[in-house]
Amino acid sequence: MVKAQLELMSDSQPTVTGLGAVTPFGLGVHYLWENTLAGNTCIRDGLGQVTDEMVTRINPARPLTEVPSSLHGKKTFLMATGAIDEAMKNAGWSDLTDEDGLIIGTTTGLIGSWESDLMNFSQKKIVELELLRTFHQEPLGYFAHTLASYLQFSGLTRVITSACSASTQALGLAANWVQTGKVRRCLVGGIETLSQLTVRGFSSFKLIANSPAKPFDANRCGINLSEGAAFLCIESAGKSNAKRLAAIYGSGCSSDAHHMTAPKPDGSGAAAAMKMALTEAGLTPADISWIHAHGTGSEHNDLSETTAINKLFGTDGPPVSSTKSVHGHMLGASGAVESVVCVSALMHDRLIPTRGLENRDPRINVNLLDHFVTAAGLRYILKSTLGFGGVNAAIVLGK
Amino acid sequence: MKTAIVKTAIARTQALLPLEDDPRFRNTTKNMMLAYLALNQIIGASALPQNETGLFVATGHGELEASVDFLKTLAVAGVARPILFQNSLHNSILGFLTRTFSLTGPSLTLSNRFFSGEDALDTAIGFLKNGRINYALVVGVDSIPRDLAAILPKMYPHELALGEGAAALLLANENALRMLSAKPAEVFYITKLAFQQVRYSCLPYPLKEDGKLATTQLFDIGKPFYDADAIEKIVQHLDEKQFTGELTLHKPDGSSSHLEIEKETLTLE
Repeated sequence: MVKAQLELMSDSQPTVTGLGAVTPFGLGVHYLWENTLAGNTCIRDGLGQVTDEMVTRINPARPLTEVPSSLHGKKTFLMATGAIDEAMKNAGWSDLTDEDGLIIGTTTGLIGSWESDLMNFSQKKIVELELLRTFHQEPLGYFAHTLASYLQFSGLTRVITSACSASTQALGLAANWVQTGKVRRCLVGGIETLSQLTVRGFSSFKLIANSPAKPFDANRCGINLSEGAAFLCIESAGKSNAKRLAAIYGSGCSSDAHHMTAPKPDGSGAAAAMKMALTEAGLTPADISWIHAHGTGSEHNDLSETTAINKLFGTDGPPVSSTKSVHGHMLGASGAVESVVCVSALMHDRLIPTRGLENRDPRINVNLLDHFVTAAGLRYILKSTLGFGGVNAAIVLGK
Repeated sequence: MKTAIVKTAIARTQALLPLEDDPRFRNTTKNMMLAYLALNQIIGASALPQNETGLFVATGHGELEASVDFLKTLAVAGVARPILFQNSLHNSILGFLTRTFSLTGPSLTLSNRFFSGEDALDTAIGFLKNGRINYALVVGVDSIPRDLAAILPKMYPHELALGEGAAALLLANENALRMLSAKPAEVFYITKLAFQQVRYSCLPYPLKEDGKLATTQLFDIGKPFYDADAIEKIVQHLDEKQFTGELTLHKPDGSSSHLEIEKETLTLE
């Protein structure tokens, strides 16, 4: 759609009216944003963790009578409810109705509930019946239905699990659902919990850095895994009296078709996703005020992604940065959490630099942002993610 | 713009045997091979444009066998094997398929228990209607992990025959049908796809101490079932001699989905 058409259709423009987040910094978007702004990091020994103490302070706003009691104290469930409750409260949503939608991005769902039991079972430390008490929570759809039960919601629910692009794709889908009238409103977000599978898995690839990541730095040495949840409330501009925090103008996704874990070095896949998002938004590269990159701090991702950015935006395009050295890489939830950062940036007219970027990798030819900027003219932000399996996704957020 | 089902395919585990010694499938999983077999029946003759074709993978349990193997190796031997981790994500199936078939268009993995197949189909239709793609490949796949063969069925109602397999559909926008190299003689149009989800269906089935779990009488307990088998059931319905155009898929928990499909004979030049 061209920009002119979008302007004529402004009533159906998907807008963000509520934000919620639970991260290692604390319960609430406020903690995520203020710490990001301060350049603090939650990374300790290479990981960002939501502490047990923090989890005990999460008080779900709704009754848990329809939620299995085994989940009432579980970190994953509580992080999700914490983020959901905050987002819905901010948007002024008391409930979801059958006209609404719920879309979740995650790679491992409720793995924290069953992983240790599975490992104990494989060592014959517990019997089958004991394993089943938690393992029946393994399907991602079970997690989705748990959240739907919490919300007393029986409308359209969807779970996208496209690795690190999961919640970016979820946001794009939510925007499409609202814009086409498939749903009246959509609650969309991502959740991820640290697990043996992911921590030991990424370690086996020697991808995890023991110190805070240094995206785009010549001396970068890996990623920081983290955990958390973020949800956004999306509704049509013309059908809501809620305060408009931002709008989703376009989204795009593509596949590298290259490798199971490494991104395509020439960046063509990621560039295609970014271009699709720009096209759908009716924008040109010159319209973008800031590119919030996936920027994990890994050798391959940072090179591939910036090559993609260079393809579309050139060497002197909009400033590019990553905030993963602040909050860590939350895998399937990263798109949602970092979109919350982007929306906050739009609300406060601030651009966030890459924390830890000291020596730029000379092979990277984009306009890397290494200092804080107050940008009164901040208009459109491009958020990019690249996932295992070569799944690339991008969204354009704007005022 | 109507969405047409152009081609269909089903893959069974019996067909996996020839692949087990094929070096192309070294380090692949059962899900990957099943999905490959289904897609290969469709893509081989279709010469689809890579960047105009989306891939939508539906799986209820994902790569559970690889996850189990990774965690078991970690627990027992203290070793984290990279290849097992690489294959453990639900999205690994998609990664394998896009690389194998050189698909560069939009791709998503969806997993929503018994509605995994319908979710993938609905999402694919949305992408087609939005004009982002002209063709969509929808694959539904699930398999039973070797080490959980006795356990996984106990997560389902009593006497449910838990199965495994893969099925695939090729969808196309009406205006893209003419551009197919192998033009179909007939297509099916999906005119309706509705979901009826039981409220609070996340409540788990009671564990089978009593062995007498009940399920909705509408669900055919005797037929093999896997979470993402909606695609296979659609394919079977289209192949039926008594094609009615209305298909209701009942799920073990009382949920259901409903599709309405029209058949049309085409003359494409």
